Amino acid sequence: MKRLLRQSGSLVWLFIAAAIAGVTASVATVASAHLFGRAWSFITGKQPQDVTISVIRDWTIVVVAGMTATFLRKLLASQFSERLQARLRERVAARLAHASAGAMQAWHSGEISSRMSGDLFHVEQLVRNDVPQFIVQSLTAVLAATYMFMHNWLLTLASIAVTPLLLFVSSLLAKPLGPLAAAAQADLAQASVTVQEDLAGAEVARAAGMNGVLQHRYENSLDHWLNHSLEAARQVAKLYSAGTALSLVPFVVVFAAGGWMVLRGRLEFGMLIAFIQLVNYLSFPFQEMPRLIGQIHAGTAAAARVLELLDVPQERTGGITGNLDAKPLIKFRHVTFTYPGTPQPQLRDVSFQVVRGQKVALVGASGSGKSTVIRLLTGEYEPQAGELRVGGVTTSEWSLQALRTVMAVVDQDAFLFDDAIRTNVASGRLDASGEEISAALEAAQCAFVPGLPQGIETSVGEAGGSLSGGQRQRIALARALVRNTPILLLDEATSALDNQMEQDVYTAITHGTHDRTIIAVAHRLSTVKDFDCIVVFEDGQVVEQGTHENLLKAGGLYARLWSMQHMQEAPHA
Amino acid sequence: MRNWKNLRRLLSYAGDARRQYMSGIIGIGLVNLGVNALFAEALALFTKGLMQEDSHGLLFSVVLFVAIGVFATVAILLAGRALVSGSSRAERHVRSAVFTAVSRIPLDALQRYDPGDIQSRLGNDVAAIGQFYAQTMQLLSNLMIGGLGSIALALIIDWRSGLLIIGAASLLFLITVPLLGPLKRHAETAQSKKAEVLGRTGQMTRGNFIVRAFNLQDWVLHGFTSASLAQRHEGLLLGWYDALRSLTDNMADVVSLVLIAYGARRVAIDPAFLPQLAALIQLVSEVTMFFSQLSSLLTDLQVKLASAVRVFDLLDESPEPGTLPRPPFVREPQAGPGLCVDDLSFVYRTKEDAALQDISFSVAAGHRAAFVGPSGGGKSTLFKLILGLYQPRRGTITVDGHSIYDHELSAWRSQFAYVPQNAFVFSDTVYANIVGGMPDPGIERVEQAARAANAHDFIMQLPNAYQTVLQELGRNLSGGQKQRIAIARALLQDAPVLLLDEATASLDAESEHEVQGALENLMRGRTTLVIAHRLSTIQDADTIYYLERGRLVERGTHEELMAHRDGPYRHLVEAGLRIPSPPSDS
Repeated sequence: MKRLLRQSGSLVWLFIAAAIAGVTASVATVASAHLFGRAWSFITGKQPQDVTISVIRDWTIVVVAGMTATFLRKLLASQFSERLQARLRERVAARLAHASAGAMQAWHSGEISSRMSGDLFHVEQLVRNDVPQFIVQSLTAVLAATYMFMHNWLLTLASIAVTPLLLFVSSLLAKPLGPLAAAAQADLAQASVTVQEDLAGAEVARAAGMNGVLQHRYENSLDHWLNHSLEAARQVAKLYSAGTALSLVPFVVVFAAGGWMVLRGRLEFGMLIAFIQLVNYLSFPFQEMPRLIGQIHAGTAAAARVLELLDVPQERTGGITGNLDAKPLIKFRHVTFTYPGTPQPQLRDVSFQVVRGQKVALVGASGSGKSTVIRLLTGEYEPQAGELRVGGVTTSEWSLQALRTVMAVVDQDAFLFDDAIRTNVASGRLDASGEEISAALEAAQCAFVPGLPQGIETSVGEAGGSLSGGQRQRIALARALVRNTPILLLDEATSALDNQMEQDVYTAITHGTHDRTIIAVAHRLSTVKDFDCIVVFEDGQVVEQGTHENLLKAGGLYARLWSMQHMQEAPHA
Repeated sequence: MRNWKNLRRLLSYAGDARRQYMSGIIGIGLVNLGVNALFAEALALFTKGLMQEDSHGLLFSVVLFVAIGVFATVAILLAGRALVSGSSRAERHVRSAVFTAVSRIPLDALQRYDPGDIQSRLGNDVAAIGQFYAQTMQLLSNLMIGGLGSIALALIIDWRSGLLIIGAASLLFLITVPLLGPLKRHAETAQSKKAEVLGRTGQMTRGNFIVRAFNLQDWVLHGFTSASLAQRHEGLLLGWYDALRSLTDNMADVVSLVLIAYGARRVAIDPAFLPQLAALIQLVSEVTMFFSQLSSLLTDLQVKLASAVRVFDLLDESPEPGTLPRPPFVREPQAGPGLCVDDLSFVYRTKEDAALQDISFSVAAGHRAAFVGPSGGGKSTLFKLILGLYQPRRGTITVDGHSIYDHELSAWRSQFAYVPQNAFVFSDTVYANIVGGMPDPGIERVEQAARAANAHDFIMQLPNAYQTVLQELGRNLSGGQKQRIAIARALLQDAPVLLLDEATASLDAESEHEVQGALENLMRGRTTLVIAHRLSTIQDADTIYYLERGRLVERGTHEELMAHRDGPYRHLVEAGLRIPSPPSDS
């Protein structure tokens, strides 16, 4: 809760103003009951009409004031809630955008979705309804008690004697609700993960007949959720009925004792009426209180889950820029790297270097560490041992933003935003002109684009949308090309393309600028045969490197790989 | 009214919990009514006792109060529990039904929705339905049973005052009616803005590597902030309307005022009216609550029903048919073993041009057919049609003489082992991923399949070997490792027809070689269709089919096609073929 308040910052004044309006409403409520009592006394005491009417007039003023105060309270509470939520959303988004690679590795997107929708909804309830109601109703109860005390302390004491017991019992009964609510929400989040995968993997799920299995998993999560919800339900019912019982006690006391006092002339009938009205305000909150406490528990549990997102570790800021004329441009020296949370290193004592303008290929079995090289080059992770220098400066010293400005990446998954093709390509360099975008698309062999229904404005659709895998890859490539950087990193960027097209792509990008340094992770050795240097990986280590001819002559792993691939390619007799 | 129908439908999802749920709902309402009625009566007696200084009457009324208390406690415990249990169960039924529906929606219908939209319906809208069961119905019951009952009671006690109370309260209610329309509109807009924000959040998360690599943080946040502000704008407007509507919450005080003013005059004439006045004052709050809550109930109902309709849309999507319906003008299937595709045509709903046209070919039993051609030419689409994932516009597919239209889809699909272009793994254990939808064959057979796919070794190196839970989209595996798991799954399936869609394209040469060997074993004697870019895979095919822009342009053996000097196949091969340097002699 405190953290939530801190997040509110200057918005807190809205909340305070709402609270003040709430206080005013509470005061008006008690004043209203008082005047009601006076009016009743005058009626039963057979006072002249004009006296009664004047009391009723005062009462009207108080009621109007109360209504205005309530209006303001609700308005200000909703203003506070909406603005706070927007602030939280935006802060979480900022946190996620700047999160480190290791941090994002640990989060499942369904989990984040669940917190940003379901949990945020509970926070809204908390801030907009539950907490203001709690404040208003408990304050009204306190004011009512004070008023009653001033007028007849004995009766008041008798009627609130049971309150401590009530509060004790209700907080006891409410305690398990928080953890239960949290557990139930976690179950739902788990279910949400299953749903997401069912949607994302819709083809595979159907083709492989996996719907049954997924449904089973989903039903499992639901069963857990139901169990937690039912347990919470039983608890809530106990809370309600206990609250009801104990809240009726003050009523009974007031009626019994008060009635006796009126008979004995110790209490005005009107005052008793006022008391009965106010006992309403004493007992009503006690009925609502258990539920509110339960809600507040659930809300704070949800808030905690949302606020956790604010702790997502960020990428570091600051750093210096390297010098792209340094020789060599890129240098790996005894680099050893293990992904956080995994036992085995992905890269072991890796050393190689890249001179500016070279085309370097990384080849080797899948899982042998090639993609990891790219993740290290972009500064996403830092080696645990050894040194990786770009432009003479280690990636740990580089300003990450500057480092990425001199690189363009094509990722394995060809991730595209759910937006137009043009927007996606332009995201490679935000100030790219229309011609530059077209040129990049052309170089990336995207001749299919004008033929699409909306041409370059065609929406890509997120996962598995309207474009084929090869088309998406080429758009991702265009995005990298439009960036026009000295360094180009390709991570299996042409895996979905046929040989001819792949050939055309490499021709287009290598004949672009002589100066451009290219590092490509490749599977098809024939693609990279003409590269300046081929670095061969095995089990995270560099086992050999050199030109195609030299490696063949050396007769090592590369030669073996090459002959295997080409035995397959030789024409049959 | 359409809303009424939707309401009934929503309630029907309570299913087996129906009785429990309804008894809880009605019970709560009845308790409400009962307590109020008895309380009003007790109050009247109490007042009379005081006026007539009758201590026995007074005592009796106090005892009545106590009895009411006991009754209320027990009744609320029972009804409350039934209500909340019933509503949880009902919500569960809905969640279950929705998931079932979504997993059965045919692919082309699924693609009409934005992914963020479906997520929002499954998250926000279903949660709203849960709230409907838990709170909205409770409110409805309290108002209908408790509120209407109190109105009736007020009229019975004194019809003139009763009418006065009802009149004053309904007047105040009418003031809020013009607010209802804007309230509903803004509530709906707010929901759709929420969905948009959620969609962007998902993208930022899934695309976080690209966001970092291209320094797109500010760009992505800019878009997010616009969506967030749009949502906030709607919410703020909604807040205004809601606050205005809440002016009527203090209705009770105003109506009490009116009643007292009237009552003062009446008592001056007829003192015996006093006890009735006391009872009526107690009922004022119930009556005014009826009217003031009525508008918020109606609004709440509308919002909840809007959510329900969005969920019903998903539930009402025609599921994948058990069997594909036969399109008009289908030729009779040819008898004979093997796979036969005849006159097949298909168009994606979202594109205009035909994705496939006039496709006819057959693959004899045990033979291998290779499909090549430029990307986007229709090869993957063909496989999806063969699997019955989409419905053809024309044409038929038969296996061993049996047409796809004559079989249940699940049975039809079990004839195929499908290894797709992008290996999709589920965030479950490696074991579960390999077993997929099959009944558990035991660890030995799973390991056997994994070994054959050259996956066993790297699996054993994972923290929990086969029991390691894979992360979303298999992030803790490399592309090649994911492929091998998919291949293991296919090997385990041991289906009569194999469909390989660029299965080995993202493996490096070394493991590709080993998997190739395993696939050769798998393919031997089995009908195989393969989409590949690698010449080696293609060359051993019995027939090669060249697909371009949805049409079969060329077909034949490798030698036959190479003989076409200007044929597209030959061009493709020449582009990809490298003259191999002979392996070194030394």
